[in-house]
Amino acid sequence: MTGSLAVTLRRALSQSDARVAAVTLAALLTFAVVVPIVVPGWREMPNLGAGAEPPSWAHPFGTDTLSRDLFARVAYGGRISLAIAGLAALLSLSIGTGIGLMAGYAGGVVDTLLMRFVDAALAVPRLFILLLMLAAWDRVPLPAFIAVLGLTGWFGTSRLVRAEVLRVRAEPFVAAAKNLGAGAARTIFRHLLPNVLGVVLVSAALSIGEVILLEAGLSFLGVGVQPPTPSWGAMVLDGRDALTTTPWTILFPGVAILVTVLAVNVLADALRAAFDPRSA
Amino acid sequence: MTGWLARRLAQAGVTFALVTLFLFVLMRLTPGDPLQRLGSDRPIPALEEARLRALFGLDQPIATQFGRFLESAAQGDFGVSIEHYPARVGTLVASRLGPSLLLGGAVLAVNFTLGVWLGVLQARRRGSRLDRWLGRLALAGYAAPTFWLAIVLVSLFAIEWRLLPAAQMTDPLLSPDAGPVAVALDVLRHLILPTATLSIVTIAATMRYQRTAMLEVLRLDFVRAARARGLGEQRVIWRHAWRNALLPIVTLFGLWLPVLVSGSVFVEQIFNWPGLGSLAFGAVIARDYPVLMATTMLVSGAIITAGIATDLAIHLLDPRTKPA
Amino acid sequence: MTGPPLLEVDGLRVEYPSKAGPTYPVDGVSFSIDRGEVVALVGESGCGKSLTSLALLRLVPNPGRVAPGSVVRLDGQDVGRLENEALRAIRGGRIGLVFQDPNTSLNPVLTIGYQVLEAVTAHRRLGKTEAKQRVLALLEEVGIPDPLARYRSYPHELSGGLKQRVMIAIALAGEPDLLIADEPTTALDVTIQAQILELLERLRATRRMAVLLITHDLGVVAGRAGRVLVMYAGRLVESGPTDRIFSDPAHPYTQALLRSIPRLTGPIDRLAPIAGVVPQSAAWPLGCRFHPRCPLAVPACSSETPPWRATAPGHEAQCWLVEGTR
Repeated sequence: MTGSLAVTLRRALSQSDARVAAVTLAALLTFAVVVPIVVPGWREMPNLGAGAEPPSWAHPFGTDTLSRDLFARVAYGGRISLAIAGLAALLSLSIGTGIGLMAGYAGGVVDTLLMRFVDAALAVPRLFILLLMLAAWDRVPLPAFIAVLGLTGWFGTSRLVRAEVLRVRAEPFVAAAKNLGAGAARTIFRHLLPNVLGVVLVSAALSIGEVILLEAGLSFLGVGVQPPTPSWGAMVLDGRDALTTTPWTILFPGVAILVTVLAVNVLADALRAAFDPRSA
Repeated sequence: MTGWLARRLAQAGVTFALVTLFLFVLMRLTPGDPLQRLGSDRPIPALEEARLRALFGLDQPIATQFGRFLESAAQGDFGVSIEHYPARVGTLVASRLGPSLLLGGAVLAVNFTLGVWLGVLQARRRGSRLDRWLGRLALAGYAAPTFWLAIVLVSLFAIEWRLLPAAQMTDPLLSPDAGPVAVALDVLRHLILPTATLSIVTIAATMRYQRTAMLEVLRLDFVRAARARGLGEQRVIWRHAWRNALLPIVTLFGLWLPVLVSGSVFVEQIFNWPGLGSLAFGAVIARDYPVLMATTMLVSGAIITAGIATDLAIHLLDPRTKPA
Repeated sequence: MTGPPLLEVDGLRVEYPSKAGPTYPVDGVSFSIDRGEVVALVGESGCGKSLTSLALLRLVPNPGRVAPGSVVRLDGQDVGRLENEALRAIRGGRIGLVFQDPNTSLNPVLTIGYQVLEAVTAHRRLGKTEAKQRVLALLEEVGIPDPLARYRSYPHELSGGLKQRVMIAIALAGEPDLLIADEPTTALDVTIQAQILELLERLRATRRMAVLLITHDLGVVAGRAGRVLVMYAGRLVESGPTDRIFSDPAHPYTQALLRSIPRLTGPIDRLAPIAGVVPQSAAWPLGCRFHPRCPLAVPACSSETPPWRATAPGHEAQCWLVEGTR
């Protein structure tokens, strides 16, 4: 299985767009990890009162109205945004895979109940559920924010995994394993899980892009990452009214979101095409 | 057919009931309530608070509250808004429905004309530079944060170039005795930027679905047979091929509504558009339960209905389908 | 012979791009068809027969194209140079095309009547009622019972045989001078096959049109076609009058094809399928393309393409072993 997974990944990266996206993403990650270490000025305000300065050699992305260096803030914000997205996606995928496996494997009442719940949850836009949950806090702590994002993102995944389990379960080798006396746990972990991995991986890539956008949106609405912690969405909120006077204050964080999500989605596409060549 | 429809409707009813329960519980279980929010601005005397609690029924156990809510909701009464007291929720929602439908309809129109046309164009030129770049461009639009894109468009078109209004649905300076045409044109001008924003972020899905569906159909025998009988290219593409590639696009509608609704929250916020999105967001911040419940139920109801409509449309479009 | 032939094909090549350079699944095919004549194009699947017929109407599927230098003339008019309107007047107008599989060649979401009507109005300006009358007459002509009821039917409501009759009606809508029937019976039940062939024969006789019958089954050809063209690996290898082809086949490939059809008279143990398959167009052998499968091959066959040689007037084959005049 690992062998064929490597083959699939290589096939995904054989597309030139996917290679560009992978390199871009690697560069963004390096930027987000390294810059805050080298340029620690993301919360410092050296010339408070000087106002926002346009990009220069000293400040490649300029400074914001509180004269904080935007290069460092965008990098640090990237750290926050990517960490949130990664952790939340991991959480929602684990739940989604677990629930999907359970529903698909158990079948019967368990399956019906779970899927009815998922139907209902999918009929409410995720943003609304998120807003409802997040409004509970005046200032939401980061771990809670991540948890809430993760808890609202698994519905679609669980459905995909369940469908895949039903498909795989019908295959002879699973029945054979059961006949040979394999227990539930063994059947699930040895036979079902590896086979649903493809679906999960594609779903993961897509959900990371979605979570980055949601996180930015919620932070922009003021119910996500709270100042002074920089996040790309919150930075756009900060510069909101000043686009024509100090365009760089929202241009850079916005472009950062766009490029990241674009790269992630291109990779997700390539993965999907690699797992299912017909869909390309 | 009727048996299938009845089953489908029953299933939708169950889903909607679950949604209602789910929302109600979610709203009451998360900490914080409207009066607490009210109290954060200025202190409220304990007696006054108790009176308000009783007024909105917040002093009752959740089950009782839910029972009361269902009872009056069944009669079409969603109660009184807490934030906009004493406005009735029904009136409030009704006044916001028009603008939301207008905006949603405009985006839908753009998606299903431009998006479909571009998707078909891509399929016809599969693998060409045009196909690849249209795909990349659409994907970039899909990756753009809605709120950011809205701000950029406003700054450019409204503030920098002064071509279009920056916000609202109508010009407050428009003379009150302006004719219906002038009013319509004014609304249209205000509609352009919000529609553009939402279309840019949602058109990728339409294009992609249409392209894939069209590619599937274009390689089928009957398309070649249609050409072989001497039909014009436009007729071959639209009447023969596209007619068969329409089904996947119809299914997209059901998936697309939630995305549109979420996008509307941001767009209405930034453009000050008097729709349901901004109403709902205001209600979240104020924890205005009655308004929140009504708007969310309305949106979910629309999504569930869209699902049924989609299935029905598929049935009507394809003479072969016999729904199981 | 009076005047130029109806259809003249000279050096027809169909080109497909590939990473290793272009390939030619149809590679230099030349023949002609006279008015009212029935010509059969015979060969195994994969030899380029269908592509040849599509190339005549410039309907080669993407990314292929008719290679420059190919000549297709209809009544002396160069089809290769036609565009848009003029090309459409040929497609379904002067040349009607009947496809192999009627189950996939009709649009599933449009009614039978609509699809025939469309073919009628594509080639003639007619009033609404007049056009509909025409459609009903065509459906009647191809032997569809109760045309008025069938007008509103969708393709999935008809049997395969009826669908093929509809396809034939569509091909006749433009009053063609040439009907190309590409394996018109392959997708049908054996009992229906004979009926369809009979219908084609009757239509040819009443309408005096030429027919190009494409088939992999030489058994279908006997008694129907006046002339036979045998195709192998993108090229014609033999052409001649049908009775000569059957009585005195010159090319080893034709001989092998004949041995592979069951006959009521011959001994059953002589029935012999041809060993091997037609190679892909990217891997066509040098010399005579049949030589790797040919039981009679000599060294010259694998190095040089044999010339055309005539064994009798109008009967030619492209083979080193044929004794004849060039």
